Amino acid sequence: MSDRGVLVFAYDGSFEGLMSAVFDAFSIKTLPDDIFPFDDIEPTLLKIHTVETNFEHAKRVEHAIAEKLGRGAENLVRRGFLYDGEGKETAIMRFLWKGFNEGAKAASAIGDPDVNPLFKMATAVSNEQRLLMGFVRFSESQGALTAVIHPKHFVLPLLRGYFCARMYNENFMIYDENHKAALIHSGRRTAIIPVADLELPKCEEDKFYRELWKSYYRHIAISSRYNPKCRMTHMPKRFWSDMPEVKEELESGFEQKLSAGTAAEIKQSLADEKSKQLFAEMQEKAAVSFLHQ
Amino acid sequence: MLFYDFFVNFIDTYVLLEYYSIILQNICSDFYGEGGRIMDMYQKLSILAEAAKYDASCSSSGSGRSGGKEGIGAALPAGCCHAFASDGRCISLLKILMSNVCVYDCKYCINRRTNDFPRASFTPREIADLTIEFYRRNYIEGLFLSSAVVGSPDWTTERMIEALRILREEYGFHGYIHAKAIPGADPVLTYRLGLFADRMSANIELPSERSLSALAPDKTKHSVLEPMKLIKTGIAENCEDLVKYKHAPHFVPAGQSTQMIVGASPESDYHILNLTEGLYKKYGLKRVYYSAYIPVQEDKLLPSLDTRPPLLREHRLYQADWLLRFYGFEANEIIDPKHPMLHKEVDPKCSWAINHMDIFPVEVNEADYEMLLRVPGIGVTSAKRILRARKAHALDFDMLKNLGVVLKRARFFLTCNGRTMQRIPDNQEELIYSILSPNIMGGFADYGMEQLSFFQPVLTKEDRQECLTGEF
Repeated sequence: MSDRGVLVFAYDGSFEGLMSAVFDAFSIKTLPDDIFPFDDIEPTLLKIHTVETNFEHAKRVEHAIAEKLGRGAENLVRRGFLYDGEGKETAIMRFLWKGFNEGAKAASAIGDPDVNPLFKMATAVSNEQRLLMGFVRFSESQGALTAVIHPKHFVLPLLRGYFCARMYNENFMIYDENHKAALIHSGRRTAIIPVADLELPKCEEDKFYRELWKSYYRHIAISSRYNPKCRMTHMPKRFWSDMPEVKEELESGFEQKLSAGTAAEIKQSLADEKSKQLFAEMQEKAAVSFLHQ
Repeated sequence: MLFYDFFVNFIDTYVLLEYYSIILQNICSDFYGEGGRIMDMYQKLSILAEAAKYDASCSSSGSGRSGGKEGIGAALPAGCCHAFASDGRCISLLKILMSNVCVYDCKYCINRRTNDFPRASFTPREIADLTIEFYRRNYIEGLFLSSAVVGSPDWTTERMIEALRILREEYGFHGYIHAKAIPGADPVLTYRLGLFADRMSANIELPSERSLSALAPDKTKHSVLEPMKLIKTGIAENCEDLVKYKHAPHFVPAGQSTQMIVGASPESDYHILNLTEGLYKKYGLKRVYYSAYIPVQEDKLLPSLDTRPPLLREHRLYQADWLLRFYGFEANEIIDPKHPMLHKEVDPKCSWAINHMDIFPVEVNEADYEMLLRVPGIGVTSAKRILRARKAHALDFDMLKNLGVVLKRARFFLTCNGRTMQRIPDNQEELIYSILSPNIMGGFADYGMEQLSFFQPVLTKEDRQECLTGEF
């Protein structure tokens, strides 16, 4: 192995393509230094092996992952592949290289340098999925529900089961504008299809419920507990443009402070400064008492 | 005679008409708000959401249901947050009152009968429609229906049952429903409500009987605990039925919860945590919520209007509550009668650990799950990741970081392969100081400078963020 130069694989960008690349690596008994989709490769002097996508090879590798490495590994690879960022192919390749050489415990070795990158990617994908399960917002137009999302990672395949289970009898579409794909559920059948460019209906007739929701959102907040940082941590701003209840705040740059609050709440906020001072004094006393305890 | 008959009939009709018009007026004010003015959905929703917002619970967890081929909706065991309000709290359910026309006069409550406040009511059909339409747009995970006591507890409960029945039976809704038990309602009605709901709650309101009689004169300890007992028995019996009969209906499958107001009355954290533990053990509750008292009216029995809600205290109570439910702590480990309040600066787990330095540091590669959970800064997720990873290889501090374990506090309580990350201070005071200081890396290096910051309010960034969510 030592006499070879740097080896780079190029594949077609599909999951089967990547699995074929894994198959190729094991058949030439060499771990490639890097893997890229065709599109991203710039002409270099490096040695490039072009992977031909072979569905039979891919099936065999997938089967081996399930059989030899177990559910945990399958999950890591599947979710890791949906990661949108550099290095996912290399992370998957290095993980499987270790796994097939050292056995099933690789899936739990999440602190290991060969496994940790993939673990982090899969975790990032899962987090994105969890957030979007809540943050997708549909609008109704002529009986069909449509939503647009701009996720970091390609999570549509992971949203499929969730939305189909709860909205089996509805017709809906979720359009991922970042990855140019749409999840379409119509007549109780579902598919994820690539979409070049899509102009969604404006859904003006859906204004009634949208306005109700916006009003609900404003009124359910307790203004004396106003905490924009906490909200931002749980609901990062990058999702706001697709969520009607916060979209206007994002566009106007003005963050609502007071909901149509009760008189007491308004009085409360006026008293704020004074109580802040009191609060600080209390804190100080407590700190002193802690040391003397 | 004829004339007399006619006259009596006339009088009867007149009286009847008068009677109906009174009823009609009542119904109108019920449907349309005060004075029979027709109120649109916007106004109703804003009034009834505003009235419901002081309920801390918005969790949709504990029920797993796959969506059917009929109807709409499913439920995730872990629940799902659909938005976060500007106060940072999770919005998971459509949380509304059915009506805020209340016969009670609880001093801390904005809906009390003597408060001059806009009133409104939803019809059961309106509630069901609104829930479905919000659900279809993925705004919410389900419904949290509560109500002021309109007329009588029984009448209120019946209307709530009707709303849930329309949702479940007519619309085939499989999503999450949390229903509030109305104190004083007929047990049979409460049970029927529970058959449609995933979770039920009966608010204990205040942590002691004395405070209850002072601040909520229409409620007694008995009337508050009665529905709780009822739900508990219902759940127990239902469990037996489910074993015996495959198709027995589910009664409150996600269990029951309760809420108490903190800071309106003089009870200590010691009292509150012991009460909480009792509720978990005796009543099998899933969750106890604390709600920092927000002054809504002037009263000599209540803290003054310019009192700030005790958010930090509420946060510390939630942390302690977490220790009780997930970390295997007992209330008497967290707090004792000599120091009846939780520390403001140090979280309860850290405070426990500082007082038990003889057990620490623990070895990451050997400690069992229960012990790992007792390390400050290590939560359930981190502990599980450590267990998973060390099956394959020994862990060092860099690997812990890569697993996402936060070492800010944990580094004072851990060893990796026998080595600590840095010198662990050997006296308690220095240790507290090191843990509290935000930027300190070299232990005691800049004591003079840091001392200043120590005497300022010490709230870590996470504290501030978590402080207001209520749901972690």
